[in-house]
Amino acid sequence: MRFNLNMNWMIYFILSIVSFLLMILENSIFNDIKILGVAVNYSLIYVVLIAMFLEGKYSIFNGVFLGIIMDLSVNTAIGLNGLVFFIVSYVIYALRDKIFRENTVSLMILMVCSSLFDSILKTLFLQKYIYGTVIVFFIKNFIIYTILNLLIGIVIHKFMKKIFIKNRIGMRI
Amino acid sequence: MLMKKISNKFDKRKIGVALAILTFLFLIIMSLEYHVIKLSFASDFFNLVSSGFRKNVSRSSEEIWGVLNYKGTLEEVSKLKQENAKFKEQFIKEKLSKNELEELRELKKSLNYLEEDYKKHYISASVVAKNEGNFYESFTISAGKNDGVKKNGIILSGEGLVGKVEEVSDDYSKCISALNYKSAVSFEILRNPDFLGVLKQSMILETKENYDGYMIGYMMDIKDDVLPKDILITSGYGMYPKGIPVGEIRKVEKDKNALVKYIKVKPYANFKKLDKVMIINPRIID
Repeated sequence: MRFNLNMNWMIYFILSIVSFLLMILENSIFNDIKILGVAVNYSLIYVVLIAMFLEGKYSIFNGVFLGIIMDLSVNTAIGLNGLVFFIVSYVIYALRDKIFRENTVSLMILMVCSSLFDSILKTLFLQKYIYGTVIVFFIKNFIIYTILNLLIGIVIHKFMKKIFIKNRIGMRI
Repeated sequence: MLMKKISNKFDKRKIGVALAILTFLFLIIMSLEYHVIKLSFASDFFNLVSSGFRKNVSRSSEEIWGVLNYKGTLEEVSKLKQENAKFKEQFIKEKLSKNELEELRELKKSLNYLEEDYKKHYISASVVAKNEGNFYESFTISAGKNDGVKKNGIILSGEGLVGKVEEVSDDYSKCISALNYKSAVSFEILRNPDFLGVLKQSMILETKENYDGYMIGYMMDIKDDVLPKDILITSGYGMYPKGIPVGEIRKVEKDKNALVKYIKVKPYANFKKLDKVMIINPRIID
């Protein structure tokens, strides 16, 4: 079975629905599951993967939309996730000629860079909420966070590769 | 003309990206520093949808866990029975002392003592969404302006102090945990109310001690003989009314020059299992 997603509005609609569902799942289930005291950022993984597999305008829309609804629903810094997801999806779009979407190494590099970028930006803007010991904060929010995002990202990438490439979804090769 | 010149110099796409980044930065600064970004309608809409889902998820997970962990449930029931018997005894004692209290109140009136005009008004709500909690713990509750919630409202759970209200929309409120706000919480030790101190979260550079999930504070007087397992309650100074359980001391430490006595406190509120909360309005509202 092959999907044919040529109609723009249809892609935007599906991306919005998936983003919305992901936001609900993350706020109600995924954020309660913590490994070594750190929650995996499924939204960031999703944004990176969509940016790898879909054309720029869709992936940027997807990043901005998901970021803004995440911020509106529960976060106090409105626009922070929006900014992170926008920059991540734009940079992946800008590097589209240098990225092989089915290549795991490409994903690993993008995942590590975007997780670190997310951590740096949040550390900069959310200073008024951060407490505790510097070394523990650094290990948790930079090292464990990046490793977890990377591992989960690799697993999801394998599934997405099968779905997107097998069914020829996405505009970029 | 000017616009044409500019667009010739710069790629339109680059201008678009720069504008988008600036807009996001503007939104972040305005919402964090000045709290002027209020998108109540949008927040209410997204939370309305996710609240129903979270309720069902937490109810079904509780039911499944109850069935799977039936031995633990039975143990818990017997513990609760014992506790219930203790509370009954305590209730009788309290009733006796209540009569004495009323007598004292009458005496107060006769002496023209001015009482503080603050009454606790409890609002109960459910937690409808939680953030990932890596950098800070924030959650959304199902009560807002329409239910009487105000900014800086104090969030309590059955165990004790949980956090405060950061942003209020019509039907929902965004809150942050007590671990993440840096305004001071004045406390006293339950064992000896003369032992006073302040809890203040901050970033510590010197120690290797893990403060993750703990509150950091210091005693007003270094001579106060506080010990691990001492219980902390709010002292009634500042926005917190007296008597809210905060947590238990885990470690007492003096600084290098022995001028300040620091304490590491394990908060009573379990932020991981937060489903139902109560809100009371703060004592001072600006």
